[in-house]
Amino acid sequence: MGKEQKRVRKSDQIKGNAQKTNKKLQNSSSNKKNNKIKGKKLQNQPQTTQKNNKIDKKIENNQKNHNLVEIISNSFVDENRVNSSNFIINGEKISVFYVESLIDKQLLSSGLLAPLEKFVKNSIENVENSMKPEEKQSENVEKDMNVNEQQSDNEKNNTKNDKKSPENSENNTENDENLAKITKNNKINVENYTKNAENSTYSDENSDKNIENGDNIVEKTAENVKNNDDIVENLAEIIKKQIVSVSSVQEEYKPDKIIEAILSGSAVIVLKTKALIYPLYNPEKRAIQEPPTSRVVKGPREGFVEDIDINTALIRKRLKTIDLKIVEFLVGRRTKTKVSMFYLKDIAKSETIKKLKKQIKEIDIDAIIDSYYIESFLETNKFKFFRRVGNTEKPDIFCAKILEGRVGLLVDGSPVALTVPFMLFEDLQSADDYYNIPALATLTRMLRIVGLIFALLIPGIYVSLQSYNYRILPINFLITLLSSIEGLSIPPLIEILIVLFLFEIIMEASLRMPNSLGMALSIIGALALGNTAVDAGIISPPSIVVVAVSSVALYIIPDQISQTRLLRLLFTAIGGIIGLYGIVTSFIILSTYLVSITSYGVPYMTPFAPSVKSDKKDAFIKHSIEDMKTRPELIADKNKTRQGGDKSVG
Amino acid sequence: MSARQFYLTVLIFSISMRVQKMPTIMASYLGKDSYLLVIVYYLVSFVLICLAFFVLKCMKLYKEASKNSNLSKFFKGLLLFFVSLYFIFLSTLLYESIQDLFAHVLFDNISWNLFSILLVVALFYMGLSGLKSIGRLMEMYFFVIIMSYFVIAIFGGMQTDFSAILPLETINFAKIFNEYIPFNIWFGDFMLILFLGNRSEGIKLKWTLLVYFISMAFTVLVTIEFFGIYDVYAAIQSSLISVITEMSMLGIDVGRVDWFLILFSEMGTIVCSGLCLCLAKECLSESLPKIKPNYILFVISVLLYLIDTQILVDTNAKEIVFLEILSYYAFYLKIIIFASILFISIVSWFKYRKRQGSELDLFGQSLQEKREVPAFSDSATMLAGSSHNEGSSGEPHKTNNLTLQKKSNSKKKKAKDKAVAK
Amino acid sequence: MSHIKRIFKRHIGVIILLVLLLVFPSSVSNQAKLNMRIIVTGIAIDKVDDEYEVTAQVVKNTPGTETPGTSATIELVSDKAPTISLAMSKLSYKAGKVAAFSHTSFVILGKSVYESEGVKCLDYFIRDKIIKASTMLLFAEDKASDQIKKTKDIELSVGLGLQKVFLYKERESDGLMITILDFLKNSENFSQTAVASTINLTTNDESDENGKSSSSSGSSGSNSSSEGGNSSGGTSLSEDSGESSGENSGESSKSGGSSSGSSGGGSSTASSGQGASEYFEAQSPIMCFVGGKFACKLESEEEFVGFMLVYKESKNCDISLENEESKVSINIKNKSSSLDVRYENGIPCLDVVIYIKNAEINEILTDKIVNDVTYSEYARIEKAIKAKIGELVSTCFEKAKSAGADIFHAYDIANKFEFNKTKKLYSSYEDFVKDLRINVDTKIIKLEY
Repeated sequence: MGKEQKRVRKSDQIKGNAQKTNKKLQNSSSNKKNNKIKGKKLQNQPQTTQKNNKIDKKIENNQKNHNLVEIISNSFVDENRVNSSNFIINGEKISVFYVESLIDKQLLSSGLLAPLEKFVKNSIENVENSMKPEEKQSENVEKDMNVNEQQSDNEKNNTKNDKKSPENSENNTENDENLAKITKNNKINVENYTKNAENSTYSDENSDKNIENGDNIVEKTAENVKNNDDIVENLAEIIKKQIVSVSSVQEEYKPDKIIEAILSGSAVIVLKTKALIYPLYNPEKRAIQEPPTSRVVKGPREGFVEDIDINTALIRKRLKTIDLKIVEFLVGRRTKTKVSMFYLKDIAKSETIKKLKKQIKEIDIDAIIDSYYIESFLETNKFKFFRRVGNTEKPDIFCAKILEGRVGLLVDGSPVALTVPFMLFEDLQSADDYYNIPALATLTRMLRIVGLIFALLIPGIYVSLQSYNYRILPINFLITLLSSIEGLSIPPLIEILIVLFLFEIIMEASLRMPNSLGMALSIIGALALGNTAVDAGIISPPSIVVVAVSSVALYIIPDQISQTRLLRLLFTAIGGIIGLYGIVTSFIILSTYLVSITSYGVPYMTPFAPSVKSDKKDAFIKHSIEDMKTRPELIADKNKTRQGGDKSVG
Repeated sequence: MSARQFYLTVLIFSISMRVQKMPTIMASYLGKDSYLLVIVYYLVSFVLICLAFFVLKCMKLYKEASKNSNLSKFFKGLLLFFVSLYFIFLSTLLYESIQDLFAHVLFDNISWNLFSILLVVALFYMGLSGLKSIGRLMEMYFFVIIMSYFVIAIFGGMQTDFSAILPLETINFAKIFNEYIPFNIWFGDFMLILFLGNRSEGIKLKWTLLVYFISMAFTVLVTIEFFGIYDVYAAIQSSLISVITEMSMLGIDVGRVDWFLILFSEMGTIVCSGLCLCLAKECLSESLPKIKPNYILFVISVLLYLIDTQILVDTNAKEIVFLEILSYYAFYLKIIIFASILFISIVSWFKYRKRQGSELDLFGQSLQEKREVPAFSDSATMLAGSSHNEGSSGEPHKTNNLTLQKKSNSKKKKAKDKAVAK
Repeated sequence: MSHIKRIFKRHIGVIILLVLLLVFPSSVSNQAKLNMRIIVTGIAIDKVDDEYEVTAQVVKNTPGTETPGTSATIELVSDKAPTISLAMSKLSYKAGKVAAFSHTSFVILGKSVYESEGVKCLDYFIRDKIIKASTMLLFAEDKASDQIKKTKDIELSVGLGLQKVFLYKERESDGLMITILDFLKNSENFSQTAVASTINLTTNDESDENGKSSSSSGSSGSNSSSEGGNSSGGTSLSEDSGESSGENSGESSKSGGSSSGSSGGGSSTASSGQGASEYFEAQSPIMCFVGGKFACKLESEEEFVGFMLVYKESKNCDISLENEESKVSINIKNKSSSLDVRYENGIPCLDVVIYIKNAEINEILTDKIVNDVTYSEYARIEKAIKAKIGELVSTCFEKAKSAGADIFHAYDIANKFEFNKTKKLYSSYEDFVKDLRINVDTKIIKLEY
């Protein structure tokens, strides 16, 4: 955790500021200009860096003049998510801030809060045991005063909390507990206060004593000043080493970082001048399941989840090599989403790594919700139709791609991992292919290609055959077709488009349909389309068959569904307007486009165009694993041998 | 373009060019002896290909000679202009055969003026993408195209009476040689090898000749099949590729599925037409360096469209006249170009052969090392720059930016001189 | 200018799309939609008063019934014009829709056409790009329109698949499937001799009793509802239908009689027996044309079988042998033939070698019960087969020769393989045919019994 914090400090992103400073930034005119390029990659912004420096100075000034606890408390005045527990140790007020929904509660209470309470309790007992009765009386008077003061403080806090949200009820109970602790602590306060009063010039009661001990007093005040700073440091050390039993801790001085850490799920013990950050992040997570779009018959069924640490662990589990490098970034001004980059340093191309790092660093957006946001930024082409960034939800596939020389990205909050470079043929490959006999893999790949062509072209070919090229059809089928379309009032192109449109509606609705209604609505859809519409002469049976076959075949390659759906419409329209000739010519245009684009320097249609012989072993005809001795030619530029070679590598 | 892409492109081009309209026109002149003319053309092509490779070698040497010579630049520009016209007409021939197939055979009654706009757009886009994309496209489609040609040949062979070419005693060689000129437009292989080979790396003569041999064998076979099936009625057919499989579909009750094979093979024709257009663009942009290549391509595409829709429109008589003019133009142009190039090559070969051991250019760099010169950067190259360097892996090599630097330096110099003059 | 350039550059894609959308409305082509088309599956041509009468067999679509192609109904439309193409264009719209000729599978030429002018009207079919050159050519012994009318009553899969029926008949040596292209090619080669089959649909006894209703008896359930309409469907046929069916029934009974014989064959039924009334005649006569003009007709069984034995496309054949003691029926399962021309003392001699790759003795009709065929009997049978084949082929050859037809294309072979000699000795086709002799040899490779 400490390392991560260091990395975060070293990053060149715009720093998230305290609320007040944020508001100032937003209101300034220069920021308005900068906001125009929100969501786009950051270029040189010297104004904001200058402002950041100013903010830092302000913070530093604040630090000198104000208590860090107060700053943080004020930041979360209207914030209901953040819980706090207050303690006073050695006269120093310390607060523990955390977001309950993100924190590991058990670890928090057992490792952090409980030890603190115990420490406080023990200290009180010690004080009580060492205190005299007279002193106890005066203590009691002062105690009452202090208690009253602190009670009023707490009441204020409590009332505020009560007004804000019902969650405060829970907080109230804790506050009550804290109050009890505070009252106990007050005894220590009193003790310390009186002890200090003996040595301080502020106490009237002890002024005579102080005058008597003039030199000692001066010395001791100086010591007190030192001691105050020392007290904080010592207290921090004591807390770190003796009280809190959570091992990893990071010290932080800047309020914005502290706030960031609190909101990121750490428990933070805030002292006067510094804070101790304990990473106890443990939100509610989804269990590891098989992803719905990458089901396999044989092979691993683990899939990524939304938590990046779990995902990282899944990868680390498989790649136990020192060459696996993980570079982390925080992307998104408000979401501070963690993005991790994975690559094998002795295989991946350095140009790809550099380019990718640069692209990620240049991302300037307020929120990253899903990996698709990152993917959009990585796609440099304007016409974002064919994606040039691969994705997968399976760790085994992810690792396999990294081993081929690709660079992978994981985004916190998204189960979809990204890989670059990407080639179109990757979508035709499936995890199943690698866990079955090669002959079956070959057959299924051919089926996928045929399915893709069916999905893409069948409606267009049907319409073109009906409109222009009926001469191709055999006579019996032609007569059947003629009798089916006899009496239809709409042209074949419009008919097919209507059926396609209806199918699209059904598909979209079925995604959002409640399960209880699914059966009933699907019957209605089938009857309406299959029977009634045909009987009414609106559509013909062959068109339903054609569109149904095409729609089913769409899902043979789930990663290309969106592209295929759109292209299918285009080819249908072209086939209806200008027949098979139009389909052939459009297909050539599409192919020309596909062969001309690249993904991070790798041609999109590799290994077919350009032809790479060694890579074709994993193309249409799948060879066995023993035959695939080298990595893909164009992806990895070093250490291309997979089998044999230097066994010390990795 | 890589060597493999080059060979595949040449094979598809040479077949696509000669299995469309050419055999039907030949049949009307020569009848059953058409295949002999095809063999004669191919044999001549073999010789020309060898010479083309010789010229390619010499071109590297000539590059130095023409650097500072304005006359050579002018001559080069003029030559390239005519060469580009030649490629435009080649593209027109292929375009016209596509029109013939779609407008007259596959479709009943369409407005080709409107339909062909999409084809022009496709050719324009292919020209825009460049030779690299066309090479990859050929590689990608090669298997499908060649299999469709193969299956078409088999289907045709099933119904062929191979004795139709007999008797051999009636072969009139005089007539065959008389008809040599009108058909030479379909056999522009020297130009193609020269200009495409200049943009490819690692090509070898023996493989090119092998590819041509395969092309010859296939073309001769289908020509014989065509005449064996249709005999005296071959001359009134529209194109070879669209009719050769018709008779073999009788026993199979699945309609005209052979048309899908024809469509696949026609994809090769469309890509070849795009290739010619791209080469025309490159030659013309070398000839007219001040105009942007994309604008040139646009103009060429429009010209192609106009020729096809206005001149080579349904009237057969117009078509024949146009083709005759074209044939003679192409023939004499080829002679002139060939002679010029050969002359220059021989001169440069003898003149710069002394440096052959080191083969250094003016910058002291070995010509063997200097693999990649970006196209359009060096105006001193005789014929449209050297290759877009892609090895068999398709990975682009590092470019040598010396020529670019030199050009930019010269521009700066000019600007400085102007400023000083002012 | 730069502003315009910038707009153009930025929005080039939109501009191209707009142009394409404007240019390509769905009505861009002049083509009729498929549901406005009617499919023509067969054509019959007769000559009436110096005009061509073209009758087209069209498929009638029943809307919304999802009728499979095998059960659709047929209609007939016809018209007259001085040329074939005019007549075709006239009847294009006669059925109320645009006729589509791309699926025309057969053309029948009537006697009035081929006797008067030969086959020159076929030029239309070879030039037209829509009608395939692989369309089958048939001849009618009388009126072609009568024959095409009778195809209406045959089950549609047969009616539409007439070409396929003749393909199978050809393989079984029961008929010829000759395409227009093959016919014209043969007419143009050295031999100038072309052959084609006749179509002769006979009516059965049941429908003869019904008389005029013979043409309207449905072949299957789906036909019956439309039969009443269909029998008068063709615009110019309603008057003729009654007469022609009467004529045909008389004729067909004659030809039915001639076709019955001891040879394996008999009349082949066209339907599955659900009340169909028309039958194909077995071993329809072969028409022989020389130089596009009618030469002769191979009518008798011997002539027919003799031709089919040499014809390369036929594989199966049945022959029968007879002597005083017995009759033997031989089924030839697989055969091939080779032809060669040589000159003997300047006389052309056609050597025909027939290879019987696989044959079987099907039947032996004799008084005694034959348990086994002895070796000597086997040798006798083989000898008899060879003799019979020689006889059959010679009969066919002589018949054609007498009409001046080089039915086995000997002149063509001679020119192709012995060009110089042929040119020297016989520059004229007629002289060659006059002097041509035939020599038939049979090689039996396998004979089972």
